[in-house]
Amino acid sequence: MACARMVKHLGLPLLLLLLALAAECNSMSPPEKPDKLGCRSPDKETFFCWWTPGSDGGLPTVHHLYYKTEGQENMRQCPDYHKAGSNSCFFSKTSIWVEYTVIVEASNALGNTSSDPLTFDLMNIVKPFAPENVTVVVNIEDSPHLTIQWHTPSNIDTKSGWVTLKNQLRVKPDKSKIWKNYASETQTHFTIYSIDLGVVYMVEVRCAIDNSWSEWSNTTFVKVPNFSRKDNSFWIMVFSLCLIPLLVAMIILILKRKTVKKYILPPVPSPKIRGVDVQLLKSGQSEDVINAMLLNQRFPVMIPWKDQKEDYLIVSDKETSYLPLEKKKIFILPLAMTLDSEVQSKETSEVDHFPKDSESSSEESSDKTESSQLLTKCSSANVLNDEKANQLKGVTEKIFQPFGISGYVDIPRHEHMQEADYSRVNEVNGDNILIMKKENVPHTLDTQGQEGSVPDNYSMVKEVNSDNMVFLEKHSESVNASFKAKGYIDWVNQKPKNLHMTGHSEMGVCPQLVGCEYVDTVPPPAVI
Amino acid sequence: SNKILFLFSETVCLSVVLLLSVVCLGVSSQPITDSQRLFSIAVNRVTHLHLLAQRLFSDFESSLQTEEQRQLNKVFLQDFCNSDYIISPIDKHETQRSSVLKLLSISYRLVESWEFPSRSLSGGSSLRNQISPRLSELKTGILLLIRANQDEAENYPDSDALQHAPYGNYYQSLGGNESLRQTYELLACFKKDMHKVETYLTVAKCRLSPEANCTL
Repeated sequence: MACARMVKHLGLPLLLLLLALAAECNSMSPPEKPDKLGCRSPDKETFFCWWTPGSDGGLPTVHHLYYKTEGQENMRQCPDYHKAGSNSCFFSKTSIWVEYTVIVEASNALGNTSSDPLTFDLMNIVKPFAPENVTVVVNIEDSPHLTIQWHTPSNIDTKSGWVTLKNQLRVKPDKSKIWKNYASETQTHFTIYSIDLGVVYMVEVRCAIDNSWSEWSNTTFVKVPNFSRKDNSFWIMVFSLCLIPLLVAMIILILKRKTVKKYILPPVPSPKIRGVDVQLLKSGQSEDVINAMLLNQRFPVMIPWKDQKEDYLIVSDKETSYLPLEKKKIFILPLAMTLDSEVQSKETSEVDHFPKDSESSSEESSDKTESSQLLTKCSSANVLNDEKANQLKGVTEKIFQPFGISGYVDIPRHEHMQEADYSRVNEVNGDNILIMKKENVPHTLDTQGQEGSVPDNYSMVKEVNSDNMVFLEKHSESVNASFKAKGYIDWVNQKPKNLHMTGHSEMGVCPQLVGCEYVDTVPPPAVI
Repeated sequence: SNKILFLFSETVCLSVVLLLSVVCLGVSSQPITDSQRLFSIAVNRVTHLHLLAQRLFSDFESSLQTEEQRQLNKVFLQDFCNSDYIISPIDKHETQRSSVLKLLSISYRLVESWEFPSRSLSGGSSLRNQISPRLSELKTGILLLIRANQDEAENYPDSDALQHAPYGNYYQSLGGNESLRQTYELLACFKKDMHKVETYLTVAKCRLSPEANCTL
C-alpha cells in the first residue's frame, strides 16, 4: 500500500519534468522580429508595404501590420493582406502629405515580436511600375529608323492631372556597352533615325512620377536587316547601262573634234582691204605695196588754192646771190601726201604722176613747164636750191635743205619790176648797204615838184641823222635850195610810214639799195 | 458703272462684317486662353521650384551619416512644418472636390508662407539664391490667376482667403544649436509644400482645359 502511494506522489512531477525536458529538446520560441520593411506607391494614390519575416520559433507564426497616421492615437490593422502578395499589406485609401507609421508584428504561441517602425510620407514613396507592352518596329523604306511604342502602367490617373508622367528610353547595339538615352516627355511613342543596318538593337523604356523613376522595362531585341544583294545588282546593271551611251558619245566627240570645234567656235572674220593682199604686205615688197595702195586709192580732188596765181619765190639762206625774179611756180601739195626721203628717191615716177594729176585738175597747166616744186612738211620747210631750181624743168633732182623757216615767202608781183642794176654800186657796206657813186644823174626825184611826196631813190642822201633824218647831198645847182629846206622836212615827216613798210613789201622801191629796212636799224652810213 | 459701284459697296460691307466677326471672336476667346497661358506658366515655375527643393534635400541628406538620418527621421515625426495650419486637401478625391479658386488660394497662401523663411535658404550656392526670387514670381502669378478666375466663380470671400497672420521666421525660433536639425526640417518642409502647390495647380489647370486628356 505504501509503494502505490509513493509512485503516485512521484509520478506527477516526473511527468512534468519529462514534459519540460521534451519541450526543451524541440527549441520553440517566440518569433523573430520581421525585418526589411518597405513601402511603395506606384500611382500616388495607393501603396503597399512588405516585410521579411524572421524565424518563426518553431511554432506557427502570424504577422500583423499596424499603422497609424499623424493625427491618430491608435494603431489600425492592415486592411488587405492579400492583394499585394504574401507578407505584404495593401492600402487603397490613403492620405498624402501626412506621416504614416507602420509596424509589423509577428506572433506565435510563445509570444509576439514587433519590427522597427517605419515612418514615411506618401509623396516620398512614390515609384511607378515600368511601362508595359513595349513594341519596336523596324522600317528601312525611306531611311532606316526604329519606331518604339509602349503603354503607361495601369491604374495611373493622368487625366485629372493628379499624376504627371515623364518617359525615357534607351537603346544600344547588341555588342556595345554604352546606352544611348532619349527623353520623351509625355508621349508614349518615339522614333530613332540614327541606326545602322545589319545590327541587333536592344531597347528599354521607363517612366517617372515627380522625378521618381521606375525600373527599366524588359529588353526588347530587334534586328535591322541589310540591303538585299538582289537590289544591289539591279542598281549596278542600271548604272552600267547608263555608262555605255556616255562612252559612245565621248568617242564620237573625240573622232570628230575638228567639226565640233568648228561648230562650237566659228572662225572670227578679220578685216580686209580690197586689192591688198595681206600676204604681200608681209613679204615686204613695198614697191608692189605702193602700187597696190596708190592705184586703188582714190585721192581726194585737189581743189586749186586761191593763192596759186601768185608766184612764189624760193629763198635759200646759204646762197648769197639772190634769186632771179623769174616766174616760178611752186606746187604745194596737200599735207597728206608728204613723202619720206626714202620714197623721194624714187620720185621719178612719182613726180610724173603729179603733173598728170594736177594737169587734170588745175587750170594753170601752162605755168607748170617751167616750175619748181616746193614741198613742205609740217615741221620744217624744205627749200629747193634755187640755182638748181632754175634748171629744173621736169624736175629730176632735188636737194632739200632744212631751212628753219616754216612757211613760204609771199612776194607780190610787180609788172614794172626791173632787174636789179648794180652798175652804180660804189661800195658795199655790211650786208645790205650799197653805197652809190656820185653821178651827174639827172635826179629822178619825181617828187621835186610835189610837196609831201617821197623820193624813190636815195641818191641824194647825204647823211642820215638818227632814224628819221636824212641829209640829202649837196647837189648841183639843179637842186632847189628851197626844196632842201622844205622838202626834206616833209619827206622826213612822211618817211616813217614808208620806212616801216619797206621791211615787208617794198622791196622793189629801192632797187639800188636792197633791204630798205636798214634805215630803221642800221646806223647812218656815210654818204658821200 | 452702276453695277461696278454696287459690287464695290458689297465687297466693302462683306469685308467689314468679316473683320468685326474676327475681332469679336478674338475678344471673346481672350480670357480662356489667357488663363490657360497663365496656368501653364505657373505650373512650369512651381515644377522647377519643386525640383530645386528635391535637389537641395537630397544633397543635404547625402551629406549626413546614416545614423544621423535615422535620428532626424524620428525627430521629424514630432515637429511640424510652418504651413501645417493651412488646411489643404490631403488626397486625390478631396482635391478633386475642391474648386479651382480654392486650390488657387491655398497655393497662394502656401507660397506666401515661404516668403520670409526662403531667405534663410539663400546663400552658399547659386541654386539656393534662385529660390527667393522665384517664389515671389510664383506668388504674383497665382494672384493673377486668382483675379482671372474670380469673376466667374462664386462669391468666395476674399478677405478670408488672403488674410494671414503675420508670422516671423518659424524656423528660426527653434533652438539655435541644433543647426542640422533645423536645416533638415527647413528643407523637408520646403520640399513638401512645393509638391503640394505643384499638385494643386496641375489639377486646377487640367480642370480648366477643354481636352479630356490633360497630360498633353
